[in-house]
Amino acid sequence: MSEFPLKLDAQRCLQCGVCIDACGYGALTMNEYPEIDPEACRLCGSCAEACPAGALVLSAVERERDTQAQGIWVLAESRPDGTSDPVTAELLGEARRLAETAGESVSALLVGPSEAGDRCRELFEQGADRVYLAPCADAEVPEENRWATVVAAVAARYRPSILLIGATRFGRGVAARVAASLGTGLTADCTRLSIDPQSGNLLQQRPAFGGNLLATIVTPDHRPQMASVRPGVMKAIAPRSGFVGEITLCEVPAAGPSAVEIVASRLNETRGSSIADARIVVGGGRGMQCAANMALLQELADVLGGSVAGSRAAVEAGWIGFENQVGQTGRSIAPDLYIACGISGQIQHTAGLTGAGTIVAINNDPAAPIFSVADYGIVGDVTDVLPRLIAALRA
Amino acid sequence: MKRYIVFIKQVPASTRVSIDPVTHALVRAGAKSRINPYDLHAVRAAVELRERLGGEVVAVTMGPPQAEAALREAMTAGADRAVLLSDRAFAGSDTWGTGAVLAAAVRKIGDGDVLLFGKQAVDGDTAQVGPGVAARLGLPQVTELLRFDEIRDGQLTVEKCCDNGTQQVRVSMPCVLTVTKEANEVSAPTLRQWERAQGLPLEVWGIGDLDLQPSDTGFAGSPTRVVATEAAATKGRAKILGSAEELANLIRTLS
Repeated sequence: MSEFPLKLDAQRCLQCGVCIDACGYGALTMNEYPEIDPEACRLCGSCAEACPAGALVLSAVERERDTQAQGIWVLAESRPDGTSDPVTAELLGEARRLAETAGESVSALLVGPSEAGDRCRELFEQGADRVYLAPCADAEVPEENRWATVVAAVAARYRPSILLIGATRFGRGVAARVAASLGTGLTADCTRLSIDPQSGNLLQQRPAFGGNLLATIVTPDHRPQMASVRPGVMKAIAPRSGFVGEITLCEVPAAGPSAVEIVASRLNETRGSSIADARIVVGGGRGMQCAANMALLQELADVLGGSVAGSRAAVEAGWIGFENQVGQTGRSIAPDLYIACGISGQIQHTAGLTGAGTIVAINNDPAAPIFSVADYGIVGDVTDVLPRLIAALRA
Repeated sequence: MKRYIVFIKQVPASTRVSIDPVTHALVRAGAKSRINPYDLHAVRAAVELRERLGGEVVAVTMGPPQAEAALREAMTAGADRAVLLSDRAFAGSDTWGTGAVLAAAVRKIGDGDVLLFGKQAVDGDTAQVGPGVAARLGLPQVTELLRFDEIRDGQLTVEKCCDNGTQQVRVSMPCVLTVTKEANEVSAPTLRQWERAQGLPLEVWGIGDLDLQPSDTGFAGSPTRVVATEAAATKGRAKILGSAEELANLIRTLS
């Protein structure tokens, strides 16, 4: 049996009992000195933080920090059809903001295309100072296993301090495999990133417990500090027109016999503008009552030049396609204006709105939680309010 | 004999939590636990493979002794035996530390032809452990399985979710699959299935049973640290407008 990572230094202990109250799990009991129940202890460190005498010490883990690693990297993701994924521009924008605090440079890692000139130019404009280009023809139709091998090999060779990957389906599959290969930490689905001014570590904030909690996670010693980042949350920078950075051509490990072969891809044709890119989004929920009423949302969206989205309830009712679902299990969106119609505002839905600008809610229940998230609200039935709103906007 | 290893997780029955404003401790709505709902679909997928190719289904979880309940649920759903990985040394593991234990367990079980995970766990939502174990064992991964198109000895052709659509992929065994809820139907267990599960073998392994050092897992072996948790912030109350016309004027000023 190994030693438990939380220890009491009885010489220092004042027997004050502060730690007993600080423990949220009832893992400490006072028996002259505090006793730790290792079955109940979650190693959260609250007791050690609360102790005025420094008598409770969490972890004697001595690890050497990798100080050689430097630079903020973004994985330039390609969509299944080979085009660039919009999340890349968002991540480069965020990387630039982090780079200002950290005093680091920003690089993009581009896997795949042999004709990379246009993609490189795009990445420089979006914020990259340098592009690490890993050419491999067999990776042009993105496949998680192959990409992970390439990304891990290039990252191991050039050792970035931070590696950001979009939390798309593809990105999450790649990121988890790369992190395990490199033996480093990975925080999933981050919605906020910053640099800790003291330690220089990346502070990675992510929703947990269905969006009810926000946890801040660090990777103190291992490098790269890896985070997957929700699409639609971070903001791209204004394009740096004409900016040209440097390109580093990387050696790529030879492809072995492919264990996973993509036989066919069936991609949805996106009709109209995507909710991820729209400046104005009109969302509908259970309160829309029936599929026919959803036409009111389309009408409003047309007047405003926006797109229509739905809550999980609307998607499950079959009123709107899954690709337009906003929320924890759907997409995150960051429009300037979001109009929530007949949406109660469960955390599952609002978790997808953290990047939204102004939020307006229309709901007949004045106690609906959406009114605690929205900036403006109208209490009323959507079938009554929406036609009047559309008419007023047309006037 | 073919072997399908299904990894399951015991999760809180409700994800409704709050932070005690005084102690800052996590307050859960109830202490009740259940098997992660995606994992039941992974068990069902493993049973489908067994029905087609023969072999055994082994359910594995890492957790406290109470996690036996989740393993019994997996056996009620069709697993033939179970392994509970339980040790103080595993406490405080992040997804990396968890992957170390699960990969070591696979080696002790004696490898599997297909390793199955739920798409993600509903408490952490990371979807990282399945691919992490795949990478550690050098196995190919197929994430977000939608259905089996063809099950042959040594090779699977499957449909999976991808961004903005679906893909059909072919993967050779051994491999790792993560399974969505769309992959199959999970039916409520019968009394007979429940009775069968109570008598099936369940082993408990600690770190001493695995080829693993304490520094490889648990708090000590985990690269990430949770440094703060807070309740998700809300903006406060919306300003309530009197009419649709007032809202129209507001929208005009915004755009």
